Formats: sequence, C-alpha cells, structure tokens
Amino acid sequence: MIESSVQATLDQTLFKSKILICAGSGGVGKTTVSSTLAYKAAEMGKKVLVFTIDPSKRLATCLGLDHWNGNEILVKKFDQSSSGGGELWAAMIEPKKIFDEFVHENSSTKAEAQTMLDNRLYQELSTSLSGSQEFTSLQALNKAFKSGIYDLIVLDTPPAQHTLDFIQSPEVIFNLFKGPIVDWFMKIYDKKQGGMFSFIGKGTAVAINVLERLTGAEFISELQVFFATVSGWREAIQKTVIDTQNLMMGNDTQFVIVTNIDDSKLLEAEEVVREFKKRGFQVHHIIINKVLPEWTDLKPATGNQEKLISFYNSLKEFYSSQIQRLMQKEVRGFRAVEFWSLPQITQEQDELMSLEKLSKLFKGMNFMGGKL
Amino acid sequence: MENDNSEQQPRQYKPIVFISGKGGVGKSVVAASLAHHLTKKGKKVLLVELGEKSFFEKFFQLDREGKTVSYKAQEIRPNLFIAIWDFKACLKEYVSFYIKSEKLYDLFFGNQMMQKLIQAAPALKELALLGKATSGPRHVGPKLDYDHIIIDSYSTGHHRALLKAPKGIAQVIKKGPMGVQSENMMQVIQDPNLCQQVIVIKPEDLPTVEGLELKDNLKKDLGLNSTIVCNQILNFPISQKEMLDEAKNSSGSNKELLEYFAKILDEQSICIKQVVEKDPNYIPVKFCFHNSDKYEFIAELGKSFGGSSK
Repeated sequence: MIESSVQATLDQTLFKSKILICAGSGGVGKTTVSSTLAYKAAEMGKKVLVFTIDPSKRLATCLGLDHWNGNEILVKKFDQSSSGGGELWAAMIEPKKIFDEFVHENSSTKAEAQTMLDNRLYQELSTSLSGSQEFTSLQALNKAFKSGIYDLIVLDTPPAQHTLDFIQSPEVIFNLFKGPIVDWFMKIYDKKQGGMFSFIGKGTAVAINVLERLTGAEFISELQVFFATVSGWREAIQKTVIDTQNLMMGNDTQFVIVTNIDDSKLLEAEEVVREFKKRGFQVHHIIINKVLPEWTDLKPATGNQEKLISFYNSLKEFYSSQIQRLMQKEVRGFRAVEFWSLPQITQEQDELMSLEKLSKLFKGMNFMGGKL
Repeated sequence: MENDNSEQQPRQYKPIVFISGKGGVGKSVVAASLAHHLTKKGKKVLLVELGEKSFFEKFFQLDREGKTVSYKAQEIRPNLFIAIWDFKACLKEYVSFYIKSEKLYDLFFGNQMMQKLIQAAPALKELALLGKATSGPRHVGPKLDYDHIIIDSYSTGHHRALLKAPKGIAQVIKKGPMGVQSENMMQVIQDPNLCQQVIVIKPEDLPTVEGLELKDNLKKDLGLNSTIVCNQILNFPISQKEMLDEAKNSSGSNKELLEYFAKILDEQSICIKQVVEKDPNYIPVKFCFHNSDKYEFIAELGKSFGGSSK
C-alpha cells in the first residue's frame, strides 16, 4: 500500500499552489480532471477558478458556461463550518475574443483596429494558427492571476497535436511578432515602393521575388497590412510573452500531466515529463484517468454473472499487460513524479455530483515499484 | 459479426482518405488498419502521418530495426508504405517544382528571414500539407504512385481548420498562383471520386458527439460527406437486461460491477444509435485484446473494413 505521506502530496499541491496547469494529449479527459482538481481544492476551503476550453455540453451546463456571458461564474460555495467556505468558480477561454480585445487595446484608433480585424490573415491567425489557443489561454490565466481574486487557478489546456505545443506557444507567437522579421518585411516593401530596391541585399531581393512568384501580389499585400499593424504592437506582445513565460516558470505554478492507461499515451506522458523538467517547469503529479474500476472482493458466481466477471477479468488483464510492457521500456521520466489513478465512472444525474464523486477517488499508485 | 454474404457488398475507398476524430479514439490505429486492409486487397498504399513526430515509428517498433519514418516513403510491409509529412518538407518540394533553378531555390530557403516568415505566415502550413496530399490529381510535384493515400490527420477542430484553409485563401486571394492552387486543392477535396473523409469515434458520449459534430461541420463548410468508424466496441457476453436482472439478486462489489457494466453498455448502445441515425452505413470495429505484435493487431482490426451489411 501507499504510505500516507505520499497520499497527502496531491492535497499539499492543491493547498500550496497558486496555479495548476493540466496538460496532456487529446481525449484523456483533461477538462474533467481540471474541474475535479478545482472542486477538490474548493472543498479544502480555497477560492478556486477553473478555466476550461471547449467543455462538453454536460460539464458546461453544470459549470454554468452553456450560455456564458464572459464573466466568471460561481459554481458552488462550500459550507463555512464543514469545508472552510471554499468557492468553485468557472470561466471559459475564447481565443478569438481575447485576440480581438488585444487588437482593440493596442490600436491607437478605432479605424486601425478595424483594419486589422478585417485582415484575412489576422482572421486566420486568431482562429486557426497553432499556438493561438494556447497563447490566449496563458493570457487569460495571467489576467486572472494578476487580479489576485483567487487562491488557486486551474487551467485546462486546449487540444493540441502534442502536449509540448502548449509550453512552446509563447515562443511561436513571439517569433511571429518579433521585431526583426516585421522590420525586415516592412523595410523591403517600403523601399520597393520607393524604387530603392538597391538597398537590400541581392539574396534578399531574389528571395522576395520568389515569394511573390509563389504566392502572388495579393497575398503579399495582405501580409503587408498585417505586419504594418503588428509592428506597432511589439512592446505589448513582448511584455505579454515575458509575463506568460514567468507565469509558467513561477514557484507557485505546477503542471499536472493527465494521461490514460493506453500504452502510447503513457509513453507520451513520460516524454512530456522529461521535456517539462528539462525546461525547468515543475511537474510532480501524473494522473492516469479513466482506469477500469477495481473490485478486489468479487464473490464467485455462476451463469451470466460469471460470464461478465470473466469479461471484467480479461479487460483487467489486458490493461495490466499494457503496463507491464511499458515497464520494460525506458521510463526515466517517471522517476520523482507521483502517479494517481482516477477510475472511469458512469454518469451521475448531475455533472457536479460526478465531480464530487471523482474528487474522492484519486488513488496513489506505486508505479515504479512495478505495481499498478 | 455480420457474415451473411448475400447481404455483403465490398466497401469502396477513394484514392485519398483523411482520417480524423476526437483525440484518443484510435485514429492512427484505424488509419493503419484500413491501410493494411487495402494492401490485402492487392492495393499499393501510402500511410501518412502529419507533423514532425512520428507515432508509427514507435508503434511498429521501426526504431528497433534501425528505421525512421521520414518524408520519403518506406515500405514496411508488402505494398504498405509509410511517410510523415511536415509542412516545411512539403513546401520545399512545392517550391523546387516551381522554381527549376537550384540556385534560386537555395537563395530562397537559405534566407534566414524568409525562413521565419514561412513559419509565421498564417495558412501556409495548411496549404503546404493539403497541396502535397492533393498533388497527384492536380499533377503538381513528384508523382505519388499509390492506389490509396491514407492520411492520419488531426483531431476534429484542427482537421476542420486544415480543410477550410484553401477555401479561405481562395476567397481572398483570387489572383496569383496561391489563389489558383487553393482553388484546385478545394476542387480535389470536394471531388467524391478522389477524396474521402473518415471520422473515427468510440462509443462514449464525448467522442461520439464531437465526431458527429465534425461530420455536420464538414458538410456545412465544404459540402463533404464522411464515413463514421465506430472503434473499440466492447463485445459484452450478456445483455444489459441480463446484467440488471443479475444485479437485483446480488450485493456488494458484484452488484456494483453488474450495474457499472450495465451503464457502460447503455452508453455504448445510445452512441451507436446516434451513429446509425447519421450514417446507417457506418463501420463497426470491435475492441481487440491484442498481443504485442502490432501487425497482427492491425490485420485483425483491418477485417472490419471489408464489407458493409446493407
């Protein structure tokens, strides 16, 4: 069995941290786990905000986010006497809205903002560019953190191709807006229009010609409008990027990796832990979500019941063989992290009841010892 | 298994097949199984991953044979080829096709600022990938000599954005090569004889809802039809009614287990019903307790892609 000191560490993390970022690959149940962790912390008496991206209808309804008006919503206030009066708040992340707000805040005139909002490349960028969802989540997180209203903020990260995309997103966005490239592009085109092509190096001139041949003048002119506008935002963007980097690296920030029992997902989690640690992020917990519930005291049965029990046993066998195979591989990323399992539960009538139920089902697992 | 031969008709797959679905539903495994199935029919198949990091390299343990999955296709089983397409490689190929001069090409990609611009320019990634995927029918670039290209695409939201990119670009940029190419890509994607959309779900609430939503959205955005694959269907030994009957006469853990599986089975049945409503011809794939040999595993799953019961 797990020692109680180990069992208590998740509670300690919830108690001490100011920011928890739940990361993991798609479909593992990050949104549910984030909400459950937030619920658990609120139950401990904390004032908690959970930021979700794209919650399911049921969860959105339960968190009051189905007809969301943009303000944080109080989901549940816990009893003062029994639970220390914690509060669970929820909010959603809407990348497009956050980007548009940023445009308005950083434009000197309304007309300037509108030019950008109408630019097709901007529209593509604010909705579909990889990194834009991640970046806007971090921005929203930063804003909420600075408001100082909450004891703890739990961030559910957007679906990504790879978990690492999340931590790289500020860098990606930064590269896009960074000074030199904007300057470079603007300079070339200003000069070209003024007929002063000779000032740019020959290599650059050729490269630009090739770009024009490949994309066409129309694309280039859209690009020009885009860069002309962002060139004025450099400082604001740089500040946001630095702020979000600091936020992720902060002492009170922890990453929680969410995964499931699938061997490829576990392998990815291992790699993610290694990478996160290498970059100096704090990762202490991995949560293996949706594990098969465990019944150890099943009584022998006959007939139909026996058939179902043996079906259950074969499922159990299958999952444990997946783990066994994984154990034979290199899993050094798993050292010095704690494993928790959350069982797959069936739906309760009310999703808040599911969160309450789940919040009590975190179970420490002795992974490196070979038992799971 | 539906093995009534008189009712069976072989399923037809198009030259370019995109596989999408919510994260965690088993898109990649379905893509590999379909690819394997088609090779068994005597077809030459290219299985494609998108991005920079290969899933199949580890999945098929190609690293153990000292192989890596790269842009250049490799044959890993008879007639089964595998490749990974990242947008930079696609773009380079496209550019070298247009700019015959090697020197110009080097100047273009050698320019550091140009490299950054390529990274940053919105929609360029999507266009480069789709450009490669549709290069065969458009007669652009090196010949892709396969009967089928199975693309293990992004999960729902990203896949939708990927397919929408050429339409968006074609609408704003009507002139110039980029506009023309985008228009052509769209035509190929929308041609039901050339391209096919497969959406993978598993019979749980969220993946089903999200998968069916994608089906509606692809129809709405681009007029595309999609085939649903219902993956990981649990083959319970007894019915839900039998579980509940047994539960009445049980107690403790036994009762909990019976009730638990009754609910899981209920969710599964509801999901399958929703799928049937949207796609009566959907492809059911049973949950497979596979051993460690992944080729046997995909061969087993591949059997599901053969016939359709009418």
